[in-house]
Amino acid sequence: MPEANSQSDEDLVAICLTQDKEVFGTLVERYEDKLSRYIRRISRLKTEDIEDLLQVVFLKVWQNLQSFNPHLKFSSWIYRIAHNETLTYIRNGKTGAHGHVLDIDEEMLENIASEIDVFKETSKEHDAEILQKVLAKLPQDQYDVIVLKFFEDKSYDEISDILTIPPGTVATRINRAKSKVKEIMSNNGYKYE
Amino acid sequence: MNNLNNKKPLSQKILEEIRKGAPQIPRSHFFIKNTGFWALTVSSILVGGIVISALLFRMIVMTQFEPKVPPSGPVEVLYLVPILWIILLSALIYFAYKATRKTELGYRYKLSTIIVTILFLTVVCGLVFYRIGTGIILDQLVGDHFLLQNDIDAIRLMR
Repeated sequence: MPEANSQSDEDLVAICLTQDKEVFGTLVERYEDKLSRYIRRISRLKTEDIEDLLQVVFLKVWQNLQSFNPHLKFSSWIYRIAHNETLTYIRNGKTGAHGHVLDIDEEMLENIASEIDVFKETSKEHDAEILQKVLAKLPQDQYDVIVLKFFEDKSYDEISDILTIPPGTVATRINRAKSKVKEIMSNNGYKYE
Repeated sequence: MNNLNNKKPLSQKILEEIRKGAPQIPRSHFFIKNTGFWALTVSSILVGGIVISALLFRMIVMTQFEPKVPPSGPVEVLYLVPILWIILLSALIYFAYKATRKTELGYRYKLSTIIVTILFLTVVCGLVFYRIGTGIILDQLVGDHFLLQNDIDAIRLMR
């Protein structure tokens, strides 16, 4: 579908609803990897579970496509569905998932380090390891906003739309998470600043 | 064979489900749901307005005919501060808040913004209803049908 590939998500949704259902395949291709990574970050699901869950997510997106509000970004809307479905999946006990898997690359580490003002004196490899441990200890609501902000690179408004909370609450949670990271690091004897 | 099926691209699997007739919820369903929540918000504000008009009637008009002495017991305090009305009003404001939050973009607004707006609109409705005489009608209606209100009034008149 060469034409479909150059269209925006929102345009593809419109085409999907009015002209050609097959275009939905392009949306699936666009978001398969992103959502797979996101689900892995907010849960500790096995690859097979993630594949199953992705099918559920995309079918749910299809089922609710008529409710998509064009005032929202499609990416925020699909992330919201993925987030909610992941929580439901875990809550229903379809997996023994616990904890999180964070693949922290150098760019992410620098991004987080500059925001939270930590890890200035230690090696990057060591820092990534510490950061993984520290972030895993955050309360779930703070962990979610950190993942979306620093790992998924979402804006405050997008996070607000994904988690269905006011943008002000997003800012508050991010600030609390930053303080909590420093507190955890300090309590565990990790060096910072 | 099973293994080969598993390797099929996800987009292919999803499109197959769609071709087989995977259901889609119609737009009208979401429209009705969203409108329903807004209707609940508006209804709560209107009913809250009527409650405020009754509250104003109690506090402004009725006290003009009462002896100007301080309340002597808890029942009289209840009378002066119509606690049942206030509980009902609080419940309605909470209900309006919850309904607003459930609307399509309701989550974007801060709790304080929603509560203050609902409270403001309820008070405005209350003043309008009071002006057109809803307060006295509701007060009489409650007096006729709820024993507690009559008891409180009777105790007060006996003093």
